[in-house]
Order: sequence, then C-alpha cells, then structure tokens
Amino acid sequence: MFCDAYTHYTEYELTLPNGDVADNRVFGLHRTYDGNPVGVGVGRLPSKTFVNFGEILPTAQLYDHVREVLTLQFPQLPYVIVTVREYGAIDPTGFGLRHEHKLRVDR
Amino acid sequence: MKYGWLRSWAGLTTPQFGQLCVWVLVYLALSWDFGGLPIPVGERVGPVTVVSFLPDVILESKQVFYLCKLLLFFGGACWVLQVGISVSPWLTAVSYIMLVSMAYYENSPQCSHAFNLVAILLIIHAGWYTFYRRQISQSVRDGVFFSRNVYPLWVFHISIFCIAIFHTYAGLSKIAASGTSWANGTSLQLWTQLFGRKDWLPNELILSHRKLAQTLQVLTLVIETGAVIAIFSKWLRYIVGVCLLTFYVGVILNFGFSFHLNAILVAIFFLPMLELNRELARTAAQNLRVTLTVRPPNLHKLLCALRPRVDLFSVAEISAFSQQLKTRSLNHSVERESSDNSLHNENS
Repeated sequence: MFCDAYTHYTEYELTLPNGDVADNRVFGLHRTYDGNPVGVGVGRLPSKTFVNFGEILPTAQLYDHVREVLTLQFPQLPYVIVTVREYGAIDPTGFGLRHEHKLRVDR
Repeated sequence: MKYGWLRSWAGLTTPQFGQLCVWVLVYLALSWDFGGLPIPVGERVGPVTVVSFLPDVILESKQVFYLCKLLLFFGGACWVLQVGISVSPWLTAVSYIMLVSMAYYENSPQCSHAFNLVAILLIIHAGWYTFYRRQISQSVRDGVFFSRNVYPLWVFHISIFCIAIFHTYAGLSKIAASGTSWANGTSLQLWTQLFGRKDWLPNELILSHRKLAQTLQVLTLVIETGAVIAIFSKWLRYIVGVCLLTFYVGVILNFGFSFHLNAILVAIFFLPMLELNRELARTAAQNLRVTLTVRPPNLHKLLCALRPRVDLFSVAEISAFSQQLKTRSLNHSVERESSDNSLHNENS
C-alpha cells in the first residue's frame, strides 16, 4: 500500500444550474485511487474515469469531456459549473489546496 | 551449537502459546464484520487470489458467501473446542480465505492488506494441527493437552518468518515502484490530506512540516524493509516488533485503516509473548490452584470435558458439590472418631 509517491492531485466538483452538486461519477471525473496502484491486486477494475490520479487535466480537454457528457447524457441541462481544486505543495514545507478555479461548460 | 537454530526449529514445547495463538486467530477471523458481498462492477482482471480459478458464478454467489460465513463460525468454534481437529482447522482457514477473497479482492476494485497475515497464520496453525493431530487428540483425550510437548517450534518460527517477509515485501514494493525518492515527504502529506483524520494535531504537523513527513517516511521505509532481520535473533525481533507496532499505531490513528489485526499479530509474535507465556505457565503451576465446585451434574460433566481444552495453565479443578460434601462429611467423621478415641484414651 502507498507504494506510489504522488506529489499532487486534483479534485473535481460539478454544480448544476439549480445549485445542486452532481455526482462526479456520472461525469467520469471521480477519483479511483485508494492508496494502492489502481487496478493492481484486485479482481475488478474500478469504474472508468477521465481522471488519472496525480495528473492535472488541461482545461481544454476537461471542457471538451464535460461538454460531451452533457450533450450525450443530459440534454436537459444548459450548463454545469466544474470546480477544479488542485492540491499540492503550497510553500517550501506545507501541503494543501494550491489552486482553485471554476469552469462553466455550456452544452 | 552449530545446529542450534535447527534444534530450536525442530524442538517441541507445551502448547499454551500455540493454543493461545489459535484462539486469537479464530477470534480475529470471526470478529471481522465482512458485511455483505460487494456488487461486482468493472471489468474482471486477475488472477489475484488462490481462489481466482473458481468460476464467476461461485465467486459472485451470495449463497456461497453466506455459506462460508457459516462454515467459518462452525469451523472456528470446533477448532477452539478441539473437536474434529483433522477438519476444523482447515475449514476455518479455507472459509476465511474464501470470505476475504470474495469480499475484498475478487469482486472489488479496491483491495485491503489487513487480512493477509491472519490468513497466512491460520494456514500455518492448521498445518500444526494436521501434522500433530494424533498427539494432540491423544493428549486432549487424556486431559493433559496443556502439559504435553505437542507444540513444534517451527510453527512459531515460520509465523515470524512470514510476518517479517510480509513487511519487508511492503518496503521493497515501495522502492521498486518509486525508488528511494518514495520518502520525499510530499507523498505522505498528500495521503494525510486525502485519507487522514481531519483536525488532528499530528496530521496538522505533518501537513505543515515536510521535513517531519519525510523523516516519518524514511523511518517507515527502513522499518518495513528491514523487518526481515527479526528472524535472526530474539533481540532483533523485539526491536523490530516495537518499531512495527509504533508504525501501526501511527497508521491506525492517522488513517483509521483496519491494520489492528496486523498490529495484534506483530505484538504476539515479535514481542516476548512466548517467553512471558512460559513464565506465566511456570508460576501458575507452582502457585495457583482454582477449585470450581459445581452443583448440577450435567454442568459438572461439561466443565470436566472443557477443562483440558481451555485451562491454559492447568490450574483449575472441577469438583461436584455432592462429592465435596461427601468428602467433607467423611473427613468430619474421621476427625470426630479420632477425637473420641483420644478422649477415651485420656479417660482410661
């Protein structure tokens, strides 16, 4: 357990037009990392996700992905707001929320 | 002297420690709440366990899962009571392995390393009961199980070897995956941020001091990788045991992972429990005797049957109430008779 040595990660939160927070699994933006290398030593692969733990998705790629899911699966939603939280080293000694930004994705 | 280690592995001793380990292992196996069978999602990969060869229809079957739970309870109870000792140890070990495999490996995308050691040690102790089943059943029948030399020391040494290798493998897998730069401090900070207990002072310190996090990681890597040295001498074993226990306490307090199973087994096998057990047995045999007086004859019979199986230090005696009364009244009449005789002698 904990044999990888990641130094940063990103979390995604999706907010619907009515203010509700959507399950990020539905948009494939959930975290599958549980401390063990994903898919190693297990009988089942975790559900598919667009996010590789330890990597930061480029904004354009994230935008295209969310828009595609929105168009194909949620035609009734005009837009969603994706909050991107990036955690990592914040100063020479500390660790925490390094950067947060919101992205509005229109269908 | 040259083959001292061989003698120590091949030697036999009284089974107090071994039987205590069996009780602890069965308790750990039975006390774990496996919950229900997880609903399998995601694509099948593998093989990951020794039961991976079984078809999905068995590995995903709720009936098989609950049957294994039932067999685990039945086998565990029989093993503890030393009933059907050719079968009950293996029934316990196999049903436990099947349950763990179904609940945490075969049908789940997330694995847990909290159950491996219990499974390994169950197999080793089931092996002891299999290889020594004649001696064990004979001594149980004679009511002298705890005073016969029926515990081979290889069971103890192989258990230590497996626990040591398990931890060394964990250390080596970290070095293999990330190199020595695994201990960079930032990764422990990341896990603490992600999985750690919130608003807990030691975690706050780890999150704000990378040097502290790095020191803890270096110590973890050294302790885990170096755990194998515990097999070479008992003092090294004690030192490794204390270090591993400290590590487990930290992990359990920080992350809340269910590593207390491993911690208990490290405490039993790496701290001087075998020696303490021997000392306790010696002291108890010399100084302690407990007499239980039982009135109902059926309960008396039951306790008489149980005593050689559970009376670890052979200190208990079971006597029937009526029997004690009989003995007392007999003693009383003998005393009266002797005092009458002495009075008669004095008068004459």
